[in-house]
Amino acid sequence: MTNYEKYKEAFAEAFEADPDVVESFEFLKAEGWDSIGHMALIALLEQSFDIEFSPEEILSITSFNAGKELLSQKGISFN
Amino acid sequence: MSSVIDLSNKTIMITGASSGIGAATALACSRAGAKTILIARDYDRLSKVRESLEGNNHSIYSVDLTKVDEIENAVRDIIAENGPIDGFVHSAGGKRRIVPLRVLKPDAFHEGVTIYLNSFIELCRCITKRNHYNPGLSIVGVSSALSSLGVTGRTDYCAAKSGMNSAVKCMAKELAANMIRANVVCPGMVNTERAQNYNSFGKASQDDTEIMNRQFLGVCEPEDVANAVLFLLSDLSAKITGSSIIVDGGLLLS
Repeated sequence: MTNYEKYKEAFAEAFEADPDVVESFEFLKAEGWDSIGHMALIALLEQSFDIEFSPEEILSITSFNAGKELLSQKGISFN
Repeated sequence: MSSVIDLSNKTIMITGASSGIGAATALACSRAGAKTILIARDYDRLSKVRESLEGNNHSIYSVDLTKVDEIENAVRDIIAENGPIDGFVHSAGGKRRIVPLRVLKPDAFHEGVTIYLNSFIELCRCITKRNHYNPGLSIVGVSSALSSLGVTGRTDYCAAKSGMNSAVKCMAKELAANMIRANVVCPGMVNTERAQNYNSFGKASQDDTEIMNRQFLGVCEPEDVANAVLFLLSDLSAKITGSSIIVDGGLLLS
């Protein structure tokens, strides 16, 4: 499984959504992405990629793309 | 010795001794005249804690308590080097994290419970073997008042701490004939480095705010908890076993 697939799976699992639709997800707009869903997403991303987020980073993941950008900055390759 | 409680001639083993409540307990024990055995993962941090203690008869050991299968040999070696112990304090903790139930899979749950509960049980089993302790051994688990309240995203932590509370009651009955006591201290919110680095947000953050608003005497300092631990380690609590001392600034008041 590629990192991109792992990333999509984390969103799908956190928000109980189809992996094919998560790329457009935004915080509080996508169904299931409330504060509990956000906690679930953070836990899954930290487990899946063996990383830790700072409080500021946690709050900066406001969309699928914003999270992907943050992970790239933390050295996760999506190529 | 600069303490109203006297632990001179006692040897106290403390896990999680490199920071927070464990480190504060180590300092309090040393001021009460005890010889301490400090256990944590980080040897360098343990060294710094040891430098802060009174007296020069303290030992430090780097042990990863998540490797429960290795605890028995570690305890055997430590007691062989230091002699039988008079007190044991379990203050070890892992990364404080929020994991909502929907993603708390068996591995994640196991990881959380291992450090707080499984390692405690295994340490107690190994320490209470013949010749590993002196009569009057006092076991003190650092539990949590939060386990009585429940906290969003912390099922593993609260379940483990509740398990610790029940475990000491069983141990108290089973081990009384051997003159061993077992108790827990249940802190509320404590001002530790781990708490300061806690990534609380959303519903969990709301829970924390509610807890702080109900902690009428304010946030506890590690020393507040260590003082209760010290009492349970001492002969002043000789007839207290299977109990919980709540150090929560009033949090659990209804």
